[in-house]
Amino acid sequence: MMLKALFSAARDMTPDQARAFMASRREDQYTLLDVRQTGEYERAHIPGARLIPLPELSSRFGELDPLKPVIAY
Amino acid sequence: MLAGRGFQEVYSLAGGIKAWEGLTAAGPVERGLGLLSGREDRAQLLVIAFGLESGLVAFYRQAQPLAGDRRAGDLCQRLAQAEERHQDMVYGLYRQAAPAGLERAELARRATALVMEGGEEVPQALARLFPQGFGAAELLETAMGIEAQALDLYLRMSHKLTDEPARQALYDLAQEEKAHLAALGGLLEQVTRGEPV
Repeated sequence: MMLKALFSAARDMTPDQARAFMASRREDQYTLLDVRQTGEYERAHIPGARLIPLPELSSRFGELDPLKPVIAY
Repeated sequence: MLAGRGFQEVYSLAGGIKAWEGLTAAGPVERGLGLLSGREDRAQLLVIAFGLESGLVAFYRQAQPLAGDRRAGDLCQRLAQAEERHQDMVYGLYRQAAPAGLERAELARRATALVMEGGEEVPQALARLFPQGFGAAELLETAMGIEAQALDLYLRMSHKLTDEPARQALYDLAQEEKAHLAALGGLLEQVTRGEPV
């Protein structure tokens, strides 16, 4: 999924960068966002990811804190 | 999409989850969330967490006789002791939140010790994970999977809670789980290299 095209201002973060980012912060300091479908999330997701399937994002973005960095996949 | 809604810092995980080589969790968003109503305060939340940790201690204790060799059995004991120290930390946080709260022994008595951090019952988990015994590497890989599920459960719980001090307790516990995962990863590397643990 080309998330970068959907999140126009999003920057790429490699998995290594993401691991380092998450390891150095408490979980209340960022949002890990899973925008895949529910079945995909249930099969495997990064621990702590918040599921908001992409089709629902425009109506549910209020559940997220805009002041926190978001890592989406 | 988010950037247009005022989100200041948005990253896209390059390669998505297929490129993610770290641990993953599985299961529905709601798994294990029946343990709490969402209205718990910090002390009530820590009682639930203490019970979950009790389940994990029971898991390693009950797994020990199933170990395929002495090293795996010794590791079971070590992991159970680590979880007991984790319980001590949870109890300490509980008594800070509830100075006139229950004694540790009473809390332990009330804990069902049947449900692990990931929300699964101990006998079921043992039968599923170790139908034919296990060695040290298998135990550590399993332990890391359990810790990843526990980390996921604590963070999903934090999304359900409305009380901020209770949520903060879960973030504290999540930090503990992350440190525990790193320690387990170090042990697994030692085992894989054939070094004593």
